Amino acid sequence: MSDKVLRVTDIEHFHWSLSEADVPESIALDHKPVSLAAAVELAIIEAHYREPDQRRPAFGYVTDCPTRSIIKATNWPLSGKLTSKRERDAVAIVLPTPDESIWWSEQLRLLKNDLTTNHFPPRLATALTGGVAEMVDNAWFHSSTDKPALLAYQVRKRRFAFSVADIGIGILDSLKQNPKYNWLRSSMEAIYFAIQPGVSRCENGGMGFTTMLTAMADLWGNARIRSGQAALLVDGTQEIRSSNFIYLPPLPGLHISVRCSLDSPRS
Amino acid sequence: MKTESRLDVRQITGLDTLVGKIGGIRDFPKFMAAVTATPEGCTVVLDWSAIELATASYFGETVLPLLKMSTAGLLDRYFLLLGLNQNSLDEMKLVIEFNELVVLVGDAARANSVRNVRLLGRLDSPYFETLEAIKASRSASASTLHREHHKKPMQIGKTGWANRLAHLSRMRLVRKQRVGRELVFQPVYGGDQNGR
Repeated sequence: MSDKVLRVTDIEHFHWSLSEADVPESIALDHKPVSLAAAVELAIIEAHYREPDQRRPAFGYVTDCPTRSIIKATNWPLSGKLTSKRERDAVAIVLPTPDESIWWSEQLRLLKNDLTTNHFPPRLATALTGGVAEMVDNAWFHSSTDKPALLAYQVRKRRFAFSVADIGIGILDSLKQNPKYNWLRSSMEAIYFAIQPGVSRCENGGMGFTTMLTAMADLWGNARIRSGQAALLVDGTQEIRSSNFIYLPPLPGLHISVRCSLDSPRS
Repeated sequence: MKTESRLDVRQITGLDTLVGKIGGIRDFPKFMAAVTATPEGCTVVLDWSAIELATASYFGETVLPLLKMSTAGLLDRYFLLLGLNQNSLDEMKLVIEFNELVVLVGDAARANSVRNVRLLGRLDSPYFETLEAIKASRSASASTLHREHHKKPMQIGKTGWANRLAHLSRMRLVRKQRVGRELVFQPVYGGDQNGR
């Protein structure tokens, strides 16, 4: 039996290795502290390799870390049950349906409280909470799947990270349902259009990404919008903000991850 | 005739956090029922003071259709959005500007009054000037505006004023009333005692 140790510090590299390699029977992931986004992406990758048409390696874990264990504890995306797990500063919520509006409002209030407790000014905390809510709403409304969405976040002093993921049809297939965008051929094009205001599979929509990106505008940090075979990386850690598209191995659904801070990385 | 009806959005929706397209679709019938229960032709003051957070997608499914219906002449109401906090106002602005609409917004003041009534959205300067002129005179027709402003360097003919007034009326920013053979226009909201 071949055994391969992969470090999950760079999720892009990890997934490329996995897709290019002759899939081993077992992969032992050498866990160093893994970012929240990487932990969520790993859950999506694992779900992807559970599909019957995929050769599936056995995922083993050498060490564990809080971000990974909290995602694992929710059993997402296998579990469709509304679940909320909190472990120290990290929270993971499995969101099967948008029906529980009062419960969902309460979760958003808790998030906003976490942000203000951790020195985010109230107005910014509200804007970030709105950005998160919009991303979850996107997952519910556009993923076209009965499988639940996942929200994971981590709030530390003056720092905030969140991931919203679904394993639905992804941005490309969603936008193509609108006759205005049925000419789109790649996930990269689809992401490019999806982040513009007013672009959506249906009329009167397409404001979610604008809400999220506007909320982030005054913060240091980065965002990653990953769908299908592409990801958009927005780097706001430098004085001048930059965006890059990268090609990636295909994954189902959409995964948005944001990491931001009130302080410059150099301060 | 009652010209103003105030609707508390917190009471309409039962929530203080209003987010997402799905939330908007869920709540639109509640908005519609509340608005249609007000007298025809009145100014509906939608009070958002008790709302902590409302996002663009939510507005896109609730307020936007109401505004579009009123500008299309399908819903005879005028709208004023009251008490939006800065976050919600920024989100509303996104929706209004993207859809090339203009709406009145105001701040809540003591004793249920409204202050600082202003426009949200982009209004070309000729229309803005006309709106200001109507606000100043409280009630005006194309003829009266032509008479009052004919000495200004940029002379506008009576037809020019009539066209501007018709546009503002279509945008539901002024109220139109026929008095004899003349169309008279009034501000949608009277403003507070300080004339703001």
